Amino acid sequence: MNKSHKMQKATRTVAQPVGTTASKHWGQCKALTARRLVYAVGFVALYLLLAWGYGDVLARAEQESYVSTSADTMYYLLSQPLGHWYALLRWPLLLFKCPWVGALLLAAMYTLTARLADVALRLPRQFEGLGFVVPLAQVGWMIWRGSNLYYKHEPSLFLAVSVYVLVGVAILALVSWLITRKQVRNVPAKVYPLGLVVTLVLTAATAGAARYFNQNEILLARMQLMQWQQNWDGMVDAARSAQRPDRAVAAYHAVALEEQDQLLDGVFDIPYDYPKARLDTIDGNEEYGQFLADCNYHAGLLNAGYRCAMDHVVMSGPSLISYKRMAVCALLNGEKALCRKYLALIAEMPFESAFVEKYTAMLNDAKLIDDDAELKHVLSLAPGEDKFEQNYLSPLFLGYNTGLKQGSDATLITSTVACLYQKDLLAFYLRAQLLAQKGMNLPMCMQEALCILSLKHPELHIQEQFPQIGQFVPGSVNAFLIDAKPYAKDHLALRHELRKQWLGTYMYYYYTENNDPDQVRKEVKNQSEVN
Amino acid sequence: MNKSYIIKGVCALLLGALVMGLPSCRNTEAVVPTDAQQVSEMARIYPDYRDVTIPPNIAPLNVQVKSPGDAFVGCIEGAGQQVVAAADKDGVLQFDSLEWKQLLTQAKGKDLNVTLYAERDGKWVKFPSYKMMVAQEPIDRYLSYRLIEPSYELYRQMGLYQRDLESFNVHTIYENNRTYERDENHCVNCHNYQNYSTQRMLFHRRGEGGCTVFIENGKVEKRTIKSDSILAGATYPTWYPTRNWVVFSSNQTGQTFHVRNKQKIEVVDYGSDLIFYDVDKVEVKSIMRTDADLETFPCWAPDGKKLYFTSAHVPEFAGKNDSIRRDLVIALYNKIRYNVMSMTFDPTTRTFGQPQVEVDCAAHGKSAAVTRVSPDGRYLLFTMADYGQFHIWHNSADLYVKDLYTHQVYPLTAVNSKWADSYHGWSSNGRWLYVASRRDDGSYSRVYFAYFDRTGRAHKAFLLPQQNPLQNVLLTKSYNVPELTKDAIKVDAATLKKEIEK
Repeated sequence: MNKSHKMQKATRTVAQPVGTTASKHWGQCKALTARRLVYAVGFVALYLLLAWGYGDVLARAEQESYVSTSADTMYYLLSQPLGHWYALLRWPLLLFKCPWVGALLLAAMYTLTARLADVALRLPRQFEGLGFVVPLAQVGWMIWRGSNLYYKHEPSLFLAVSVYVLVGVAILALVSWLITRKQVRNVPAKVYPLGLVVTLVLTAATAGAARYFNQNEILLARMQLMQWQQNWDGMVDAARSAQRPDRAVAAYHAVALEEQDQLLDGVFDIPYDYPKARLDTIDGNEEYGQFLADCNYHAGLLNAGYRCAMDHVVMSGPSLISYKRMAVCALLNGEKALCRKYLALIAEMPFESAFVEKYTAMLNDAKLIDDDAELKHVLSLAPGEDKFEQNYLSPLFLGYNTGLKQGSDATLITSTVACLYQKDLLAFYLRAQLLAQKGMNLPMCMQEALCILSLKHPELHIQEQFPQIGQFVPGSVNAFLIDAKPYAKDHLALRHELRKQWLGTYMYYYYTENNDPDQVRKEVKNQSEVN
Repeated sequence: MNKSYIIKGVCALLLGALVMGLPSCRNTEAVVPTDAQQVSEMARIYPDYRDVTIPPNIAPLNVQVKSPGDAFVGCIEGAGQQVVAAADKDGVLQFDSLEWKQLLTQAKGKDLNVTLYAERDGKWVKFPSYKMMVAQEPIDRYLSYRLIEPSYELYRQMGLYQRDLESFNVHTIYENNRTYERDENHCVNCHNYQNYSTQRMLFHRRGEGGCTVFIENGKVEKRTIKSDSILAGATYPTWYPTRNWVVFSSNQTGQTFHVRNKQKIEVVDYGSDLIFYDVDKVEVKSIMRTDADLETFPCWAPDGKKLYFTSAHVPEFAGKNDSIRRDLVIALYNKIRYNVMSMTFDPTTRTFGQPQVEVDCAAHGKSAAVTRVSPDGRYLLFTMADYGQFHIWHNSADLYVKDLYTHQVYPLTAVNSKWADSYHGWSSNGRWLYVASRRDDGSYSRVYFAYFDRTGRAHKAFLLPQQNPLQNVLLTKSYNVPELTKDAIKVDAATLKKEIEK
């Protein structure tokens, strides 16, 4: 200790003359000020990046996780290699329930890592801050992982990596200090904070990369969180902000529209040109597994929603978001004891009391279910047919809606949209007839679909049957076809060139979208046994 | 499974502000309040151990008092002894194992009086007492079971475990892989013992590397029971009481998921026969090959002279291939009904007699599953529901017995619930029944025990006790295929896994 103290004194003594001869230039600042500035600004930049730029993903990771003090509930994790370590890290992960709080912790860890990296590298003072490359590399890794950061993987892994790196860098810093502690360093009185500039540039680049490469992943996480706040408008806005929505974003877009009774009005307002899902192949059900439970639930298929959530828990271990879905399905299915079980499991987690109280109240007073627009809506879609899932095409929420033979007015709408989505115009035609008989004003996408059907099946005399078709609609369909003609042999050009003018119309969807053979779902054969 | 969760303390220390609501040390003293005011309201308790008959060697029946209160005390008295436990707001009363054991030893054949107290607004109230009866006859000490999510079709972490009923100790028999590898993911099922002893044991491993594992006196052997002459693989086993023979059903099984029905799942057989396997000679042969009859759930009589099973006649299946039967069974699922059947057996010639109807369930619009004969050979225990054979998913499933002396068939009303009560069996002394039941929440099965007295009457069932009764709520797996044995498994889990994966 004494030696070190003496050395610091010596360093300061040597540094003074250099400071006095330093010339004054714009951007220069005192060395200590520069150091403070670098880490303060770096911390704030990282904090904003983590909270504002990537907070939704981190909050979603928290909801994917589950932690409790019960050994039985945690056995899945505890019996795995490093399970105790991950279980421990799932506690601080809880802070990401509010990403602005969780990001504080992570940004602080990252800033400390950066400082220790600078110490380890013994960089000249003007380059201090380059250590932020280390945490930014971690953020880059998180971005590269996309939804794999939490989905079907350990959701606290990013915290584990942060701790590993921090400890590793701390050891390097200690070693570096032990080796070089007797060396005398010249410290200029004023420096250009170049490290800060580099840090800011890299942080901005990382933020840009996150938004560019992970737009769908961020939006998916945001929409999945929004659905539990019943923020349907927010979900629709989020989906429509996507440059190229993936299947999951499109699914939640439909969910939000459906909850607002706007499916027919808005479902084709986003492009259906799904990019390839960037998910690790684990059990073969990755892409659809992201949204099947929620989509089945919002389609009124409570058994299937419950089953998909259960399957996720079976394959990936306890998950708060799955328990929540199972609790709500059980509640609406009238399985009160089962619902209580899941609420008890959820209550084991801190910060979930609002959810538990809300649904416990509904368990005790069924009238509250009717007062909840979402639950009431889901119940209105309850299947009228007592069939098996295997009687319908997969995925069920689509197959059921295209295959159902009897249902309510509400299912008639979802069924019509499903037929339009599947481009099954003859099945759609039957449903359109029913809707017309009920005196419904046909939304534009239905009118357009009927005009396309009329072109394909003139013998149906569609326009005579459906006087609701607006007088300009057939012309609009023809105009689309004329515009499309030059690109008849080039699907990609057709999609691209017509997008600006025609996106949002059914013609654009019908002729250009959702027709890539690579985008057709391959049947997944899960390992299954009778349990 | 019950190992200490050591990180709890560390977490509480590190994240005390964060981890609100962690259980703290008990503050309430385990002393019976002397100034408690008697109230008429009955205490709400979980599990419901009110008025149950219990074995003299069972672990403490810890309960949670769910009635309002800031603190609780429970006092169990009988045979001049007293056991007291206290609980804070969570109401979890955990009785001292040693004191409990002494109490039960003294109170054999006698009643226990249970009194519960709650502290409300600083004053103690006393709930009306209830009784528990201690039987003279003990229950077999070990209960084997599989833990698996009631998860329809997928499986990941699952295992076979053995619980010491005299304590809360659980021994792992076998666990599949803890981390997921698609090619290594496998299922284990149908564990079975010969004559309530672990000297001979078997279970199936399904999936990649599928086999039947036989364990004899700690020696592990993998077998693949296949032959062109049998319908499919070996499924539900019954070990011959004295010889190294096993009769299996051989089932072609499918499952399908209800879109609306709360029973959610149908497990259906579109083909099943019975096969005879000589373990020593490694020989398998069909007992019967019938395309229009589905035979399953075999069970030997304790003297080995009869084989009981269930069988459904499905004329639509006659002459049809697998694919057609698979489709047909979905359409017919709620019309297929199984009767309880039996066949005589001559061990010297190893030949079976003609099938006889023991209980004509189909004639009453019912369907039977899982035949089990009491060790004295007098009672035939089975489950009956409205249709089908996989009754663990049928809420109409209830336990019935046939008195094989008087031929009277009757339900075990005191044991049955409105939920699925299926997969059951006897203790080796015939005085205890056990059943996997979904009565707690309709989905996750738990093991219930019931006393079966000498008059053939079953008493109220009680839930397998746990150190913390909330384990039953928080555990997200079902207790599946419970089996009682007199002794513990000899081979340890690591050795067994190593042998199987050789």
